[in-house]
Amino acid sequence: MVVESNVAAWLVGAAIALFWIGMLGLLWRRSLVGMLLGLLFAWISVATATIGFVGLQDETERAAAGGALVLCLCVLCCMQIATGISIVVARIRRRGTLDADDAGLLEG
Amino acid sequence: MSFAMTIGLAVALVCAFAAIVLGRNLTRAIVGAMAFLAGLGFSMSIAGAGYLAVVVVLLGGSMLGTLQLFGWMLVDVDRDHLPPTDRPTWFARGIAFVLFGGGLALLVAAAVVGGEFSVEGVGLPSATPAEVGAFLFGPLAEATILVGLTIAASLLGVLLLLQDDRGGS
Repeated sequence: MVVESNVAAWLVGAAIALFWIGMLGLLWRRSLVGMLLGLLFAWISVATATIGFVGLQDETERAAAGGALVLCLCVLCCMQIATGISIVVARIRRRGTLDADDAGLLEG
Repeated sequence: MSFAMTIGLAVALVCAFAAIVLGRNLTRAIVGAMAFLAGLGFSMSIAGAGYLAVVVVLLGGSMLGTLQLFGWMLVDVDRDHLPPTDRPTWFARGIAFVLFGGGLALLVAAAVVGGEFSVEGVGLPSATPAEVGAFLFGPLAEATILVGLTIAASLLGVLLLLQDDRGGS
């Protein structure tokens, strides 16, 4: 499918801004759930940038490789969020708080 | 370049920012993130991303649903009950925030000065799902096995973490 110019550039630019927002969530939020939300934004930004770069490929094989990379990225994102929320659940069960400062020492 | 796509991207980014900055209660953050996903999916569909947009929106939505489910189970959704941040932590976070924002500003400045990223006649994406599948189970078979092992290991880790200390589930 051929689209107008600059679409890939817009997608990559939006992905950069979204990655910054995700990192802002990791730096700013003190709730572990809020930090996971920022992490989700960061992963989606990487997938968005990859989709933008896939649009730059003319060869079908390279476009297929880009599509496969997007699928793998999304799966890895899901696994990381699932593991992260499980760690948060275990932590709240043991310590009773979701404060990121309290989790700084990783002492279980 | 469609005007609707630009609007969709702008709405998505504003909603994502609002979900992070204004999301002191969990429900507000989740609603903002859902609106962000809708805007992003809309923009990607208009851009011609096709099934890749569907994959990103579906998997992102399922993860948001997981966060919502466990968050509502565990957290007071009205506010997060966190004590005020101490001064050294505020200072360290301020420095990190300034450094990260400075890096972003430099990146934007370089993009504005360079400004040669536009590509005419971009196709998004030109491979069909069948070709992606053939690639995944053909040349990338070993990597696909690794991804499968990662899924299995992650799910096992999730089960062990969610298991009660007394041995129950």
